[in-house]
Amino acid sequence: MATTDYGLKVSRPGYSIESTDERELAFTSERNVLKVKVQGATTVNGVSSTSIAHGLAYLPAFVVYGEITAGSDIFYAANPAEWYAEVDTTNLVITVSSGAGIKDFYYYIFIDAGS
Amino acid sequence: MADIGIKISKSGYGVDDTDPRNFVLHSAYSAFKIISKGQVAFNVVIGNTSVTVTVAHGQSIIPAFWCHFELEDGEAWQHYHARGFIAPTAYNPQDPDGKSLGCNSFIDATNLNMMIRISSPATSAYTLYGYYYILADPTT
Repeated sequence: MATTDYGLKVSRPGYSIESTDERELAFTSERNVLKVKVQGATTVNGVSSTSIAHGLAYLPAFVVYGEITAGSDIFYAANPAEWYAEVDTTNLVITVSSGAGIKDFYYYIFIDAGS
Repeated sequence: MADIGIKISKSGYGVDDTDPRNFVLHSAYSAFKIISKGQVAFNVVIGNTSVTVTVAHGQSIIPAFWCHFELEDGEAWQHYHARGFIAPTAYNPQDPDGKSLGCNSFIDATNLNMMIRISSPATSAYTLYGYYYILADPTT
């Protein structure tokens, strides 16, 4: 076995581990996977911001889900008219730019770099 | 015993590396898990200013999701997760009316909702497409 020919593959049910179509694999170590560093729920009250320290010294990838209106339990992955999220080398910052009430948010910050 | 798990390092890195970015898989860190994925069609009819398609997720939680929309055509498909109205490009067979298009998506306790918006009532019928991933991971 060549030194570079190693790793792990897990095929999806009904497909062979010998498949050359990566879509038929549940996992292949030839491809990176987004790894969650931290995830959690937070709230923002009215037009304001909240910061979540990520503990990474670089800009990590992230995704945020937020309520469309306070108490709705309807979540958008992006709603630039009312809120947005950004990351720096210290924090993920979620900012509500319009709308009243306490909105629920849920965030995932990844180990993997966002830039 | 807490010190158990699996790690697979990226090519060129040792499995004893202390930087988790250097691993393709590290069981100390969760990864998004896909429950379902699919394509949806937005059938625009004359007069529409928006078209919404719902996909039942069948989960007892409100799950995380990922959506992409094909709203424009150029040398390759351009996919958007969400965007406000953007004027069409010169060559845009997906929007024969030549109107600006927008898109967004949200999820509730029952459905993933995907929508496209048209800047003014459609004057012809056409079809746009979207793609979604519904994840096992929560939003609440």
